[in-house]
Amino acid sequence: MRLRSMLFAVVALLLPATSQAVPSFARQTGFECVQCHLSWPELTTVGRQFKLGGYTLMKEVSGERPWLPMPMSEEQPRIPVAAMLQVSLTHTENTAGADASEFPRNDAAVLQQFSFFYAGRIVDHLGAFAQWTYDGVEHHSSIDNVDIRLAGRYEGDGGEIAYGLTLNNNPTVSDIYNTTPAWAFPFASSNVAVNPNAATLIDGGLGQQVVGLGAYAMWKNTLYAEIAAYRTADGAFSIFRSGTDKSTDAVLNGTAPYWRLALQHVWGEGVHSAMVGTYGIDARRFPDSLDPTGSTDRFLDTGFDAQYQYITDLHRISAQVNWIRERQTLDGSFPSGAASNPSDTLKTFRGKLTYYYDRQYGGTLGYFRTSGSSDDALYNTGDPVTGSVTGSPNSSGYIYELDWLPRRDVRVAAQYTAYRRFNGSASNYDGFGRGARDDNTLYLIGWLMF
Amino acid sequence: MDKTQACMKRREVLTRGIGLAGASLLGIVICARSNAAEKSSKAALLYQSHPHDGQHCSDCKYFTAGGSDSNSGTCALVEGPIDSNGWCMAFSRKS
Repeated sequence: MRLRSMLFAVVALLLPATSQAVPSFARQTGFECVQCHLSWPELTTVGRQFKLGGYTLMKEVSGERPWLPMPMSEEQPRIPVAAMLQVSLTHTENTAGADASEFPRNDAAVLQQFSFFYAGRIVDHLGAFAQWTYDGVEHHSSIDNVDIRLAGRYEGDGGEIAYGLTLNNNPTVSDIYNTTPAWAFPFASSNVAVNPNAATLIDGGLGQQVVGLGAYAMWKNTLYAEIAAYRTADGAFSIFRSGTDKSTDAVLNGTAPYWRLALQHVWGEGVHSAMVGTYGIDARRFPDSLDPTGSTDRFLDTGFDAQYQYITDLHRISAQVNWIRERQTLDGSFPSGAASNPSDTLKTFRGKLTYYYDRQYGGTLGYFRTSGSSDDALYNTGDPVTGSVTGSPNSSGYIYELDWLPRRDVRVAAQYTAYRRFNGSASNYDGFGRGARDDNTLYLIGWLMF
Repeated sequence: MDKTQACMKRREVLTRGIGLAGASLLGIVICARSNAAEKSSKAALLYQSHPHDGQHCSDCKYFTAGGSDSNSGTCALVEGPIDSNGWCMAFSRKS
């Protein structure tokens, strides 16, 4: 009863928003959100082209452009700004006997996130997607994803090549598909729920801590390639990690190469699209961010991914799968005892299937699995709830999500995460009697873009 | 690092941050004065000279007809001459 009243409160809070308010990309192009997104933020073929073009595609101007977004103006503003608000409620299955600090704000409605965007064309061929986020639980704001692009196009006898440069602060944020970690499902998740301990480095482990310069090209709308080099975002580049915790931010030794190769095909006059690809990063990280000296840990991450989309006005279907294999060579952590083994392997798999009816009502079924070498020092905190008595990184489960978009800029979603295994086991995984199912989470979110 | 040094370091970081933000803002304001449209190629949006599922360019909000006796026109988003009977993935029906 309490959950239902909270959901109604979230919906009621969001409904009064003005219907003229749309994000900056839509204002710049005149597009409806659903032209670039299967359902935001998942990109369609049009959305991928817009990103390849460096966020610069802009419709012809027919009148005086306001400097900032104006509800009554038909013209795109000169400064492409937008904002996002997320209000959520998290219910964890079993919190009895656990330290209350492990489950902050459980069963309470929270202002999860407020983001401000500079997103759109800066000048001919140069555009940006830059996000600054306030975390309503931590009461702290910091930089979020940033992707600044310089784009061009070459048309020759061999076909069209769309190419460009990207300067960004998160490996895979520059990617145009929704399989790689930065833009993969779930597109929103609880920031107060307990999560498994193990994740590969490329899966969020470097976001808003590094800066990378990359070059990309799409040949004949078929073959996509990107190469980039990432380094610690310090010195002149520290703006790319503004507001983050320097004591835990990754510090890399030298540059880390990132690569991406994808083969895509669009057919049926754009109704169908499919992609298979591979990507990866080779990074050397100092174990202690406050003392970046001595030996480093090497993470070699290799990913394989695939995606299919079927898009019509009435029915929209998409499927994504993503495998990542990480080889950890722990020359820095093992001698100090921060890792139990000199080397480990970590593997993750994620897959999801989505269906939307009339671009308004949607459902997604997701599956995730992490497995790899047991390493007590790496994966066992020794504490209730977050510990792993086996030292195993193995976790798996399903995510069920229902979405409703009453308007193009409003999303209301209910997401349930069901764990089959958590930090190594289905039962008594922490050594204090807690089972994987105890961490099952119901997450309700109201999400507004404007 | 003593307290005075920490204070100086903070001031230096703050000054540099404000300077960078100011310079970025100035650059953005100067750049934002440009009104030129940046159009897509035909290939990128899968432009074709025939309709798709009952949708054709003459019904699209981005299309401007070239003249009463011509099937050709222009598009606010796609470069080059556009066939009024054509179609691309940016099709948006006139309201």
